Amino acid sequence: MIRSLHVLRWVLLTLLVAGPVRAQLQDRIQLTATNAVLEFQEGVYHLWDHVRVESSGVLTLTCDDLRAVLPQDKAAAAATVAPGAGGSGRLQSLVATGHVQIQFFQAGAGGTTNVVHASGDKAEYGAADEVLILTGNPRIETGSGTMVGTEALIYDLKSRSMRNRGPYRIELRSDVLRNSVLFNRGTNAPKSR
Amino acid sequence: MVFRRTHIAVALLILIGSPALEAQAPTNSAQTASAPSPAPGIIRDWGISLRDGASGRVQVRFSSSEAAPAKAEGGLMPAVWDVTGLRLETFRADESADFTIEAPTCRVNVTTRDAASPGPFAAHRDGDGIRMTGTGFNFDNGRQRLVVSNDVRIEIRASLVKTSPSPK
Repeated sequence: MIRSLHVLRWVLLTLLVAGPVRAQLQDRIQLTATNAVLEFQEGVYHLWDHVRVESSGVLTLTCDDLRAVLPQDKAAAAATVAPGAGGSGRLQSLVATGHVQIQFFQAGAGGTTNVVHASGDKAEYGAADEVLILTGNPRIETGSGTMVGTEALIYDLKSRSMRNRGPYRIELRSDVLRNSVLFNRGTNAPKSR
Repeated sequence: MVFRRTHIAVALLILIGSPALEAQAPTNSAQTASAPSPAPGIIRDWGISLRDGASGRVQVRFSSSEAAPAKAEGGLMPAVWDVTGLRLETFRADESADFTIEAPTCRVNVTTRDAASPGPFAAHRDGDGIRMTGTGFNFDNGRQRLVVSNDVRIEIRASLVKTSPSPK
């Protein structure tokens, strides 16, 4: 059983890390919403009402309210930046609240697409420590099963590790264990005649 | 400070509104009409650069294909203008271009340096490739804030959300 849990954890980690890695390969990310406020000096982008973030083929995120901080890179701002050079600030933090739904897409075997579905009341990303914290009934679903946290599920993008705050529960699909040695070990039970 | 800025704005408006001075106004502080006005009060190829009172650097540049004083505006020199074909450019501390906002129609207040429109607009920043469209905006120059009231669409480069290299 413990071994199976390790397998599931690796599956979850692999699928979760695939999103950010593939996002680097995509050119544009689209953010849509009904309303927005942009604070130019602080680099704060605040969107609310029907917020949707989409990186084609990589991930989609929907929520009620999204606050992203992309501060201006002062060094880049001082220098002459050629059009398209991408010399300004990077994403510093991102906070999504209200009915947060995140879907990561990953190419699977035989041309299929694996989908990881994460949900919660709040998702926070901080570039300083590079962690994604999912709180408020956090839940991560993969093709193998579901991880449900009570307090928080924390994914560390640097170490590619996942940890939890508070108790959590893992629900495995029964077919995941079909070929597991867990249920195919020899027993001491007498052979049926 | 406010008094000084107001004087600069008024001086610029006088430059814009005076046909006699139009030919000798190709400075950084004001780029003015180059074609006859089609109707009284309407200025074609309207443009104005607004500078910070203390540092003298260009903060905002408004330009448009046409501009007319807003009817509700009173006083000696109108501060509020209704413009068509707006191009609003904001500048960083080193006067390099920052955000550019374009809108078919817009109302501009050259005293407060604000602009607003209930209609569509588009904005972009070349430095990091951010592009934006929406319907209905209010640009508050004092707070360097852009409020969009409908149908916001923002595009950013994926490289802006890059994480550090993964451990091997």
